Amino acid sequence: MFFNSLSFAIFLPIVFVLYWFVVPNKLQYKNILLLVSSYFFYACWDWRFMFLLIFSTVLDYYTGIKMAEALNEKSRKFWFWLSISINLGFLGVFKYFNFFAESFSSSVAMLGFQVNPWTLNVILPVGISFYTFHGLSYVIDIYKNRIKPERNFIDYSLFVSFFPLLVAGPIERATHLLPQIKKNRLFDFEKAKNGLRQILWGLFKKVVIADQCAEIANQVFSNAGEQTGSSLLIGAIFFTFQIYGDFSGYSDIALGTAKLFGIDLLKNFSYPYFSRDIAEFWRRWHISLSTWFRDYLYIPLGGSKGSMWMKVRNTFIIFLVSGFWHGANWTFIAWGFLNALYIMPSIIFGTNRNNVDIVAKGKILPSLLEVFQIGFTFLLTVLAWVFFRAENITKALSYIKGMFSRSLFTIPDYRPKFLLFSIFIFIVIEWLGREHNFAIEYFNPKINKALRWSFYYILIATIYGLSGTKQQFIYFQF
Amino acid sequence: MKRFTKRLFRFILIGLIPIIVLFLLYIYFDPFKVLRKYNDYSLSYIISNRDYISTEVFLKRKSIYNYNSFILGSSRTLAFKPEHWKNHLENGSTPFSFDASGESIYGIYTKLKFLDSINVDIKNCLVILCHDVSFAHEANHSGHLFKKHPQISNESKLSFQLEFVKAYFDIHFLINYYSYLATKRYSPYMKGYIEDRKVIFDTVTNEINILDQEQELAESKDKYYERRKDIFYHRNDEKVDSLSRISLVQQKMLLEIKNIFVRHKTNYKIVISPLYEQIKFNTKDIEKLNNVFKGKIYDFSGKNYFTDNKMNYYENSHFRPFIGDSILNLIYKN
Repeated sequence: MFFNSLSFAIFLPIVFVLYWFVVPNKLQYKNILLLVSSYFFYACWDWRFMFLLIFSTVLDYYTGIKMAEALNEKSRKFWFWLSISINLGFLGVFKYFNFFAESFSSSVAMLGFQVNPWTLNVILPVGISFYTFHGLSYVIDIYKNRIKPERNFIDYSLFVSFFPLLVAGPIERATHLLPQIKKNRLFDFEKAKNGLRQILWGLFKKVVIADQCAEIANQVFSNAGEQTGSSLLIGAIFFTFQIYGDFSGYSDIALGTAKLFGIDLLKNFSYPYFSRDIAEFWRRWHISLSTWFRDYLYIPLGGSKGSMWMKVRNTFIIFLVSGFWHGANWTFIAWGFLNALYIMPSIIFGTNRNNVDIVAKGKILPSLLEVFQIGFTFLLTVLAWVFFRAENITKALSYIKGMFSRSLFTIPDYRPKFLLFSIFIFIVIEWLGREHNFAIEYFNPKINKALRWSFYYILIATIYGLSGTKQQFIYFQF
Repeated sequence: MKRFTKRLFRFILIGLIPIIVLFLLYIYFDPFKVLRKYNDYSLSYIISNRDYISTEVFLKRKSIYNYNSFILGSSRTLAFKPEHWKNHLENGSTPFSFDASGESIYGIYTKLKFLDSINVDIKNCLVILCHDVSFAHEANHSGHLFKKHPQISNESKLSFQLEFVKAYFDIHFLINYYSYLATKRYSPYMKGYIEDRKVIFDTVTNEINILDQEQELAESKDKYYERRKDIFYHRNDEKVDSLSRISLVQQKMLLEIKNIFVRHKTNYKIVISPLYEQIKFNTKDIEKLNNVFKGKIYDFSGKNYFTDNKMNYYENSHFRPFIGDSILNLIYKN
């Protein structure tokens, strides 16, 4: 059940009406309803993987309690490592087994031996990277004595499986979401209104920006060898907008949906393409994953404390692991490596926190220097996304080589006027709303109701008009 | 909560107003001519569902003309004029062009089944097949241009009508349709939505005539082909379709068709179209057709006298009626 599907458009209002009008106004009933709805939502993808989700939930719930009840450190460690190894084991089997088997086979082949890799013929359970990370953060937080284990199984299960975040995040923390699940939620008019607006903006990003960009990006990437340098550049730029529209659009719909049930999820994007350097980009892109790696990997490794070598090593580790998290392909690792290289100067010179506030705060336009910084950072990310999108490293390298050929200075073959106009409008709206949680939140108090509603109707009509070319959300594959 | 639901309902209601207005206009204008009955479907400025028109014309006039001879196939049947075909048939034959856009073997089969079910005497039949469309579907097409008339497909009238409502509410269609309605002028961006040709459907035989195309050819053949030189791409040597396209389900349909012909003692012939692309029909598929309709298959696909000259075509998809006439002369000479 995609967020941009008719079935979700039917499912969401039904759950909303049941939640606020039908189910008795008791927290436990509401949580049960959300949990059942979440399992139904997940089963619509593939009911067989429900058992994996439930098993993972039971495992972390049980080991969490066992760790808290452990009489000695040895026992605590046992339950901790049991949970970690099973969680990572599932992830390894379903997501990475084939990659390791094939990589092993090719490495051995380079030494002159022939090994036929034994691979698994299984599909990746949707959302496994996301709910596994929910569970891992919960277990690690208990082990580190940051939180107490949750004793209510329904509440814990809802924390793992709450449907808006189940298949592609944001990756929540027990410290943030569980208290909201355990607190009685009263209807909040402003929150619900904002939720609907955020859903609308998310759908616009997905259907109008991402799906339209995908058509061109797919054409260019699938025939990269026959394209001019300028067309390859255009293809990479369209993919850059596609992945942002796709994933941030998904996150907006998830956050908006959760708001309709009185729940605030972690912010996942904060206008990353307006970043002035790569460090700022990574504080604004897929925030829930970046902070997860920061808290559970980078800091335990020593973080930015210690020698320069330690800082460099830790930075490379989190970027490589982050790349690998996205998928079992060398292209993702190369993407992570490239981003680590990009950020390295700011780590070495200690300038990685130079740009913390949003660009041109309180002003209408950025300065010339800021325009240059934003443009340069954007171009770096465009190059990195080529690795993310390409089928393999060889194709990514030949794509980049083709891009920087003489034909870079020719007129590109792809000049979709309506899409370019849509992207321009999109950038303007995002720029105007950059100090807010999502771009069109800015419109609320500043513009009169008739204009605001007309704008929403135009958004809905555009989404409807372009909804024919439906593409799957990119991050569902992770 | 009350405030939220009240405001949400108000937002939805206001948003519904243009949709209701557009729907009322749909009923008023009936752009696809599927809501009301018409005596003549010619000169429509919206590209129409040919299957629906063929079936409606047949249903309206069958009791008057007692049709007993049928030309079945895709729009390429337009090269076979019912009146010309009649010259090759026995006295008392009343031909009817029962074609549809992108007609598949499913469409041909369901039409024959329909004729059989309403006790129409199928005395003669001319089936026109082509390798690219005839075996592309095993069931009803989706899309308003291709969906079969409910009486042919036996599917619900509601689902048939909904297909047109869906097509109407396509934002591109709305823009093109109402722009044309307002200006009465065809612009290139309307291609695919607005009919830029003057298409006449004969109210008796249902044959298609594209007036402006014929007029343009009559004025100057050279200019006609000069204007379309980009359409007539260069062809190399003959290629054979490497894909066998006739599936098991379609083979069963072919057998059913044969059974209907046998029951009606139909004098039938099956023509494989001479297409501009010069791709020869797959040999396995020819074998499958011959196994069912032995001696009745006339294959004009590939590189040959008919396909060599671009002047035998209107464009790269449809061959002209004089080619249809030559084919009729050839296949009926004995």
